[in-house]
Amino acid sequence: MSVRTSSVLVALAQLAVPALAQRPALGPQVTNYVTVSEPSVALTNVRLIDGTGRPAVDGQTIVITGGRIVAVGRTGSVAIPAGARVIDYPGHTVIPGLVGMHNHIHYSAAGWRNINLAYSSPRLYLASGVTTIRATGSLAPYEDMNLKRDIDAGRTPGPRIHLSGPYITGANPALGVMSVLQSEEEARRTVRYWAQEGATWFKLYTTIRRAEMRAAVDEAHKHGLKITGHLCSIGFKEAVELGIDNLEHGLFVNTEYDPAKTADQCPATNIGLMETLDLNSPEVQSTFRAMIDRGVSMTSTLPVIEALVPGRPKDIDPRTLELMYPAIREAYLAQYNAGKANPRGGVSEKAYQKALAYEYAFAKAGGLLAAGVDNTGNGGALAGIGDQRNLEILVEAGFTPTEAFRIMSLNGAKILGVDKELGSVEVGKLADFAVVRGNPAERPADIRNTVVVFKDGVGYDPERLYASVRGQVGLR
Amino acid sequence: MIPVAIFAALALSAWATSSTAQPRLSDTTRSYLSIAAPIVALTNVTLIDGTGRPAERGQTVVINGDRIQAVGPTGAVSVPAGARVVDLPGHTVIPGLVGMHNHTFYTTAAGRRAQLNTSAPRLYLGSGVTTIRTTGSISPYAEISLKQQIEAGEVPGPRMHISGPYITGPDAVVERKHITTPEQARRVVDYWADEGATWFKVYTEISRENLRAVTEAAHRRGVKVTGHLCSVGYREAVEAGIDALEHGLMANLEYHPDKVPDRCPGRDLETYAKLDVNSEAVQSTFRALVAKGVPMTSTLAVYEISIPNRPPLEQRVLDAMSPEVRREYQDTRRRLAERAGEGSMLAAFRKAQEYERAFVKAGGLLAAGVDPTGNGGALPGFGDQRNLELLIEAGFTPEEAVRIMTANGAKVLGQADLGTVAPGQIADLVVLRGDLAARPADIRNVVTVFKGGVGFDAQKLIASVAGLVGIR
Repeated sequence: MSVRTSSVLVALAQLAVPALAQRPALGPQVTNYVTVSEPSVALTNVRLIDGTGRPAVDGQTIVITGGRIVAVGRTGSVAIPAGARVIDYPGHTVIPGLVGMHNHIHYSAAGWRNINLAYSSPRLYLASGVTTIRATGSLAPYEDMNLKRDIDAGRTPGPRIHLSGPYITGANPALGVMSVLQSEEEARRTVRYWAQEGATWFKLYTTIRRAEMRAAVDEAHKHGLKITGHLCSIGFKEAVELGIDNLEHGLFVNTEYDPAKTADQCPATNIGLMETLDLNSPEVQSTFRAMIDRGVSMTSTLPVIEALVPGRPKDIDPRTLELMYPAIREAYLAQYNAGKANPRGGVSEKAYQKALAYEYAFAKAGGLLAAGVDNTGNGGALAGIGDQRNLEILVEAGFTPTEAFRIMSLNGAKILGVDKELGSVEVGKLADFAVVRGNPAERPADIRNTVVVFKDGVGYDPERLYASVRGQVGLR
Repeated sequence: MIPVAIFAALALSAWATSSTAQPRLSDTTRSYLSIAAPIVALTNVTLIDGTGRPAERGQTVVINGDRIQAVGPTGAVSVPAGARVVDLPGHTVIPGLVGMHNHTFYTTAAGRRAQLNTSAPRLYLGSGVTTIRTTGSISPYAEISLKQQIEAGEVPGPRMHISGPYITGPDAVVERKHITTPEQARRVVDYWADEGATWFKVYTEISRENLRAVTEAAHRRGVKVTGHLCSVGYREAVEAGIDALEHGLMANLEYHPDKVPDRCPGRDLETYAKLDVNSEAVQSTFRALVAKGVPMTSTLAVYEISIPNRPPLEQRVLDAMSPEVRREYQDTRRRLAERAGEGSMLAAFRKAQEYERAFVKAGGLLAAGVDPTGNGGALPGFGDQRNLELLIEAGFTPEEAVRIMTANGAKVLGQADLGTVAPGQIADLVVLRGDLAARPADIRNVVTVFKGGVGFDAQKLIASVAGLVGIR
């Protein structure tokens, strides 16, 4: 029941909220975090990384009116509407709102903790400049759906959410939170139901079999929806053949190079195989070709994998520890320190570097690469904080910072089919972007310095959002 | 999602199970067994059989396979050759408890809400709760998987009757399925009935029209609907075809002076405290429920935890909690204690007890369950046990209280072969050290829990989840 008088009162208070309009009036739970709400705003003297992959440009002015970007250009040459609020940002960079393509409302951490964080996750995303997420597999699908509805209605702060239904898998005794499919009929029924509930994506998980996958893909496509997978029992090439739209996690979950792999079976993770894999081999190149030919994208989730590499990240982002609930912090630090003491446990640095190289090679071969945090695993990669970390890791993988931004913004928007409206800072698009202090084109870590995050032209205060969830990641 | 031990899931071999009634038990499940023999005779026990009859001393219960074969005075009942005889003087045998408002998730006042697929089933079974109805799920697939794992013998736990997601109206709290149209109601019910839900729970904010749509859709599928109501009063809900009502007095808003149709006025403890259970208003509620055979579920344990300094703090509760949950709960208790003397939760609680007693007196069918939510002080299993003391405090005899917690629940579930200790019944029963009829607190001294004739070591089950409540 969750019988607390307070929950009844909260429910009652919600009755007073204004009706859902196209741009809803923001409720007090949202306006508390808003610092810029004028209908017309001009940001002057910023450096712009626009998300298209173009190099950063200094001395720019960006004008927002009615939630959209109406002008971008050299400061002085761009007309500022009368009555606009002008904010001068020398020494700051505007970056596109990040599009987190493997993001969860839930979180997992050491001790088999697995908890839906409908309170803290959306705030962390927004504060970190992640203005759109695809929830890639849901632990509590109704809660995620209700959260999206509350965000869209202006009742609670958070990013735009593209919902996926529950995780869909085959036999999987270890993670008992998923829809387990035993037949094609069940696959169709599950997809059909969640399509009606508002899911626009589905995520397949490790032990799905080909027959059920084929049925799920067919049913999803029939509804105009898309399907992605964290696969294991099915290799990437097989999945492409079966019609999948997107593949998650890259090399670490593509089992098709494993000689021990048999049809519909998930082999044990083979770190040694990854370490020695030749990216120029015909096997790897044929994976890339198959994906590129069919327009199947890949989602990079390096922060969650990095957290499993002993000694990584070299310096823990201090915000991560502050945001964690105390018991989660202790558990994470214990694992982190154990990793430092025993560098042979976990994922090897060599395999990790191969995963980076695999993604770089895929993109250079013409593949569409997007990125997301995947705030699960040992809990080291937090919502939003880990999305920012993606930039540093993608740069480590060899991408230029502006290429990395494109992977983290426009490419994701493209996969979601919203790139006409979102994903880059260009005239005509919705005003979703972040202002960061410093220059992430030269110092990628500057992406952490969000000063204000715009969504729909409304500017949110990252510090206030972070403060509202400090010490609560892992709790709610 | 990537699991903690990189893709540990991948390394696990598939667990092959048969679909027969008596599955092969996994090594994990077997490790909790203490009595596993084809025929077992429990001799010299005091028996409270779940029918409400007085306790009888010097009884023998013979279990053959998964059924109870014989019950009677020791000496008069013949013990089959080859039976494993366990002599239990000084012990009480009761039917396995049927927890009728039991969740596999858990909440605390700090805002924590965790699915406890590891600890909840073990706490239930270890506390003598051999059957649960989940009564609202925040992660329905997790519950379905757990039920399948238990039925396959893979993990220890109670029999589960699972409900689909909470169903509520458009303005209620976030983790529930919100419905705004009858069509949505039908879709939700149909889908989850296909997935295996046999109950649905409607929650606080629902219109009469949508409640009716839910009950009609459920009844068409042969499944049932219960409710933790607010916007709909009990008499209205009975009219709308509901099959059961949860929480008793404190979720019935029809006595509230400001109640308007389809709106939840919020709980008013003063109104409850002042209510006369002999008034026409209350008696007409009872008549409506009894006429339609609609039972009520008592959840006194979860209400009690909102009363300052109650229940008495038990070490085993703190031990079962994870360290952080222990701190959260101790904070909650401290905060409540500081407010002792304020408010009327205690008076409302006493009235709720009186209301349930009066309902039964009027011929109503009362069952019980823990509801391990609220501020987290009522744990799975432990809180079910606490219900016994609270029902006795309400005025029931120990035997009547046991019946409410066993046979009555089985009746609500339509499980005639569960809930009593009698020949032919499924052998779900609990062996307690002590004399329960004389000392209700002995409900905590669970020694062995039989489920389907297989005896589990209660203390081992509970010890196995020390420190996990609130995490997993």
